[in-house]
Amino acid sequence: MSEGNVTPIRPAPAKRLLVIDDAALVRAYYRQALEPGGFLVDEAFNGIEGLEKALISPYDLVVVDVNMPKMDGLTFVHRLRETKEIACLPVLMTSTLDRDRDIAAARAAGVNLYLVKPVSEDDLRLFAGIMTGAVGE
Amino acid sequence: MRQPTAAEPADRVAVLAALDGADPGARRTAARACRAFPDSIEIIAGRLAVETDPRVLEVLVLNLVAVGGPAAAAALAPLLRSDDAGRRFAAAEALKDLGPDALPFFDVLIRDPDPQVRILAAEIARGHAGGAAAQTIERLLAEETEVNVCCAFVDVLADIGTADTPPALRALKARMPGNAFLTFSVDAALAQLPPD
Repeated sequence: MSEGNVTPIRPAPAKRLLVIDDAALVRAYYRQALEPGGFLVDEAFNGIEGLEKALISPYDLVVVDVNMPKMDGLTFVHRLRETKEIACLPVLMTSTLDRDRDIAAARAAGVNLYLVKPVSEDDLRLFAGIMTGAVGE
Repeated sequence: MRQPTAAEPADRVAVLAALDGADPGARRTAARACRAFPDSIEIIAGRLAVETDPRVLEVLVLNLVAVGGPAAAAALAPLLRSDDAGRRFAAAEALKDLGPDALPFFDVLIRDPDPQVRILAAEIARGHAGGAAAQTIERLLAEETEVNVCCAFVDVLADIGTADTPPALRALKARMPGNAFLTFSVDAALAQLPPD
């Protein structure tokens, strides 16, 4: 085989995640869990800041809490799904709320996957990998 | 929702009508205006229970905090059980901003049977650094069994704790050694707090 026919193998570009949670400890925990897995992690404090960032930067996944000041996670997802430019962005919601009606409300809002806190580092990396397509690349 | 009566001044009638209207912008303006009424807490609390627009909700909550007093705290406390996430967190934040008037409600809500209420009640304490609220949370932390409540308590203690807080955090870490997030939270809080 001549050298000219060889397709160079390029590493897949790192997946970009936006973590939206008002708790600094949660954001720090998710960051230290995800960055070793090759994800680029950005942070927002609430739904309003999250929407602003999602409109400016291209993300592969949003990880969002429910209970937050100014704009809660469910309202954030509603707004996201109504905004053409970012409507298809996958959303992983993590929350302490574990009742069936909480999960149903998240699904109705357009959440793709709902995990009840506390979320293990392994689960976070696994589901972030699956939802961004990073697993199997 | 309270309805205006024929005996009320025209501007008041207009404000109350706008507060129940379909236009969120008009509701927001009305929410600001109704603070001047002597029964503003009753009016705001009534609207707070049904308002769906986050911007109007924000104005209602800010007004309730501005009016202040135990009656405002009493109007906010039940909203911690709301099914609406925005409403319950807005109520928790407002109770935090109400200062000492909210503390009697904090003492009850932080012991509520519902763990979600305890988690939100912890937010109220965030406005009371180094005081009795921190000591209350430290004491309750010793017996709390819900890991998410423990994590919420740790998160708040990281902000309002004192040199007396680290032993309570270390005891928690020893009591629940298998949870990675709790361990991470305790370590981060210990790094943030003054040494004991």
